[in-house]
Amino acid sequence: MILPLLIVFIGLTLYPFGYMIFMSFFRYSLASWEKPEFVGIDNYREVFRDRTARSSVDFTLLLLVTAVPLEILLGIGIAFLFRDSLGEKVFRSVLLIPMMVPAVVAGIAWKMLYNFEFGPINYFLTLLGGEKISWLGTQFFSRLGVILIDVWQWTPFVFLVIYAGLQSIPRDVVEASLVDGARGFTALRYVELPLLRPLIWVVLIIRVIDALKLFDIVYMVTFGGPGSATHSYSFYIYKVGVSFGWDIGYASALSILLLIAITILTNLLFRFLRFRETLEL
Amino acid sequence: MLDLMQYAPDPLGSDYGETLEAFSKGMVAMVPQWTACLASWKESPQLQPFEEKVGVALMPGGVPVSGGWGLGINASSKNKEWAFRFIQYATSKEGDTIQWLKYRIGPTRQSVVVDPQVVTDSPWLQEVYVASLNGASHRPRIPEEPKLEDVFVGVLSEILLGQQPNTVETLNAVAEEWERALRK
Repeated sequence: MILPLLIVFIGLTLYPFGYMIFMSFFRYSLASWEKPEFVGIDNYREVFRDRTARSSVDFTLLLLVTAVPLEILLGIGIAFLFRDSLGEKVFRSVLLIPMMVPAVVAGIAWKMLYNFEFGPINYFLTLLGGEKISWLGTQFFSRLGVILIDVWQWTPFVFLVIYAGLQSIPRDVVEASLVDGARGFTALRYVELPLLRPLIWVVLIIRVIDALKLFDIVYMVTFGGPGSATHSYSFYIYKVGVSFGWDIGYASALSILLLIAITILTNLLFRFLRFRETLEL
Repeated sequence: MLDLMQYAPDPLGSDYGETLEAFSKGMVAMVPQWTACLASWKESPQLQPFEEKVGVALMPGGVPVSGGWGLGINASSKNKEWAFRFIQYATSKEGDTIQWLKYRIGPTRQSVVVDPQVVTDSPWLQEVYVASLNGASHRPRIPEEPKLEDVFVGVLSEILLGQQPNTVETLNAVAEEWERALRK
């Protein structure tokens, strides 16, 4: 019974993955019409000499340490704020819109919002007496722009998970804390948040993995520019492997390194989670 | 280029389409472009009367970059003969003339450039177009070209952003990176 499933799994997951590892040790460019040539770990060495690869790592790490914490904090804050509020169901539906909009559509919309001459953001800035900002033409603002889009797009996901978690917290536990004298923030801080912690960790891990793989918004809004300011690591892999290079060997090496980084980071997060749980037992 | 940045609405934040839009809306005085854009600009309300408002000149310095399109027949094509005949027609004087007059795709035949119908339609073509082709710098037809271009565009953007000095040393660094890409 499981044989067809196994064949699909091997064919669609294990084989491409194994082939990628295999190709990362070869010089193989689809543009040159030459047969793959074994080069050992040369492709991996090249990554550390490649300034655009370094720049893409910088930007991806920046996204990781700014967008992800913001999304977690905002998502948790909004979930607590809108819980049991008037019009909760309407808010909930509206808040989920950014997450449901396809990245391509969101990208076009944000590109128009950021437009220097005709964009609404600059229009309102000038109405308020401010100067127009080149949102996509300077390193600082283009990076900020991508981070804002990521926060806009993925805060609803954090909200959704935490909101669902809040609904599942047993009311008697919260009520017991209220009977014991906990009020407002104290009940939230010492009763509800600890109960939500496993969920927060899961959300954090998912967002870390996603942030490391960011591609669509960069492709649609900045195309990595200006210069290499908003090259995310995944976007650089695309450029090397498809758009400007067709360099399958080098793109495979870059992909393997990303996979290793994600594996190490998620393992560290899981270990930290288990360590905390051990301390609390 | 650095000196010209002050005259562009958003020099480093505009993509190809936005550059075309800036010109078609009459926001910028000049734009380096391929001939095909002329067909869409001709419809722009802000650029009317078109013949009076828009002119074409040789790129400053006289060395434009040449681009081009190719036509080929797939080895597994079922209709090789018809495909070949189409290519013959598309590259004939008649096909070339239609492409220029209707779509502003640069002619590939000298006979089209001096054709009376074309001369009447676009009197500037003979002088500017032929001079452009004579001085053109051609993109190298090698597999590594997109990579080399990407490296150069990246560094050029960084110079314009002020992140890299506008010096020979910066260009030498580009040359080194090019050599590395070509050795691969």
